[in-house]
Amino acid sequence: MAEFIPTDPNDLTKVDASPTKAFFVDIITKDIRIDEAILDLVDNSIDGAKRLRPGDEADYRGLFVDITVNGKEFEIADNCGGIPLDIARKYAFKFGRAAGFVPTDSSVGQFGIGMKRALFKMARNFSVRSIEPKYSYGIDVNVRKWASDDINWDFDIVELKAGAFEEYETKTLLHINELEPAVAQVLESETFGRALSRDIRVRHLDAMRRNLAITLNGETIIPGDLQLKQGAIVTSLSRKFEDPIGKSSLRTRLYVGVGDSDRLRAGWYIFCNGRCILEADQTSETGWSAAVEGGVSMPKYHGQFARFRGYAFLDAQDASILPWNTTKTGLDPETIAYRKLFPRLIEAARPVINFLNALDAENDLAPSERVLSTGLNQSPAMSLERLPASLSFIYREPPERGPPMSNIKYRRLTSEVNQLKEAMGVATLPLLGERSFEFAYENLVEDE
Amino acid sequence: MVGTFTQIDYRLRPAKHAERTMLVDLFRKIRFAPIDTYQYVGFGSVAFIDFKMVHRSLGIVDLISIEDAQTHEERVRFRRNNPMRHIDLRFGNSSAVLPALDFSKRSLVWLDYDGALTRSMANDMASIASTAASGSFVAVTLTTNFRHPNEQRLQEEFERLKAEFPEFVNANTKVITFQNMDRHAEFARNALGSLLQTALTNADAGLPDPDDRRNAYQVCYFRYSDGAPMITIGWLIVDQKDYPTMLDCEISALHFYRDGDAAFRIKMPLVTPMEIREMERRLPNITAPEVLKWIPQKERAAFFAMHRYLPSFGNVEPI
Repeated sequence: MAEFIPTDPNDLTKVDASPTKAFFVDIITKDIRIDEAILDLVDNSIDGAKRLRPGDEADYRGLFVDITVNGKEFEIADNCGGIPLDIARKYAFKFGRAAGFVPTDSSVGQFGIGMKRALFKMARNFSVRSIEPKYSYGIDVNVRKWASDDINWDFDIVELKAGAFEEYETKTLLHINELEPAVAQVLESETFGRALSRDIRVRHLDAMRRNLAITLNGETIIPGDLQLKQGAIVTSLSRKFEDPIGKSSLRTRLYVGVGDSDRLRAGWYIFCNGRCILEADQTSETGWSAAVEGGVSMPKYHGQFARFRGYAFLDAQDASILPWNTTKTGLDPETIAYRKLFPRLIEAARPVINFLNALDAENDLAPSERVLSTGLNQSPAMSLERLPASLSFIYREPPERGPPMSNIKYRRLTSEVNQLKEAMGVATLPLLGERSFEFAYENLVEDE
Repeated sequence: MVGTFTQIDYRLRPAKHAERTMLVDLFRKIRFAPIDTYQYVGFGSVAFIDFKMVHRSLGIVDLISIEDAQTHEERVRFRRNNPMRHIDLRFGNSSAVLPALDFSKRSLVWLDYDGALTRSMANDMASIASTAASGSFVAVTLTTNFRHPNEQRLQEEFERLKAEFPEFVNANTKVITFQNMDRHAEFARNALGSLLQTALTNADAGLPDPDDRRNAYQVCYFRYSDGAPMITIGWLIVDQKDYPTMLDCEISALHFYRDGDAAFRIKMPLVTPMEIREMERRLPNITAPEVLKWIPQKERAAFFAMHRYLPSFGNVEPI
């Protein structure tokens, strides 16, 4: 289909102006940075989610993009609808946008130059496996071998099967098993991984807010808008656990503290491999009543704990060890992972509950005495991944808090007030008030 | 949980003194590692008596005292009263401080509360248990009086216990059940021990080597009254690998060793210094000899049980 007809060396009327593939590859990968290349691929996955569930209010719950990056390989896997065979054949791998291509609404990546640039930038060998609603197929490319033939520009489709696949069966897996050596060096570095995680967090906040789960090297990327208060009064809990379970490893990240007062959003949020399976939970499932310690499980409409926020991110390569039920919609208390998690939730929540009780008790004080509330209002919120490690939630009272004070206010006849001013030898009304109180107190209270 | 240090003068509590001394005796039996390599964690209050004892008797230098002192003035007072630089004062509620401590180091922990049973006690213990190294010891002390002149307050307290320990209260439990001091103490012992074991089992779930799994073994259970009725229950946390070592410790040889619901009751003899001298020189034969029959039998029995743990009274401040 796509073949150059080589110039006939004996035809003296033709000049060979055809490109070499190597030149093309060189040109299109020259100006792209590795992180941009990867972000382009993530964009493609998210476009898949948008095709699958269109609309501004669409919820991407259940959809995921899993990225693996290290010095040996690169992989991006998603379940966002697959690449339609037609798009793969006609557009996705074509150099330049072909006529007739209809872009995805509000797409960020768009199969155009992005995917090819990214792949050629990074790979010596890559393979694509995709299941779309009507077909499953693969594409395997050895870049050098392909580039050595300047005549044939096609990629071969392999393992093509027609079928009828449900939405949950669709997927795309893009795997680079041989990296360009220069790229491998970059991908190896931990700094690169952290920067990539940050970039994705910022760039795809909206998709993550709509419950699209993005993981990098098996760890869920936490959306930047999940935040906890951090300041002079409070230090949020931020800690990690790693538990071997069977042959796999369960990684847990906990973040616990306080946020804005909002009864509907208060409680525990549990994520398994990035999927949010419990939201604003205040039930015994998350140990809430045990952590409250008063014994009485606080109903949601009670405002006292409306500032409580707890986030648990559990990640495992082997998803079967995660504490979710078979439908992945709730916790399964029978799992080992749950038994590990449950006491940690209680332990983490207790100091926050204590703080919220202390905060609640301040309501009995005059506004100027509410040092915790004031301090908390002045504390900024910080996104979870920026919180410094802290083994527990800590709160401190500001050093100075005197005894509770009251104001007294009353009206009396000006003539009488002036008489009393003169009698007490004071010039101003505030002084008169203070002196007369002291006079009364000394005579009526102190002697007793 | 916080010790209300302003309410009780710890020096005038003879049963408490005996209890501390007995616990030190128990610590001496521990063979999992040299006892001076352990860390001691407690609520030292302003007197730090137990801290001085474990340091002087056992050579422990890794000492952590938890104080829920929020105000600057209170903290200054605790710091000023700190008798040893070895003591690391950690200010804050135990619920916030305990998770930040390193219990992967073998520890002796004494949660010496002075209030009645609460879920937070069990939660504190669970915090420790989640990471406690095999060979560690945890004790908890609490009051067990369930009496109140006001009926309504009593009912509220009953409802609180039911709500905080739903797993341990059945439909037949009534206020009067808890008013029976023996039953109330047993309720606390059972609930705390059971929740401690649950915490260990949960934390060790999924460990590939079953020998790494830990259990809690109750080794002491004291009941006494220095005014308010108190109980102290202590457990060793030991994994399967260390189980033979625990047997080698021979803690069960201690006369106050208790692994079940029968408490060792600390009853201090009410005797004069003269009587103490007379009895002490005839030890161990003092319960029935003719020459001592002028001392009441009850006091002689109490002396025999407690003679190694009697406090020394005098108008002298300990240095």
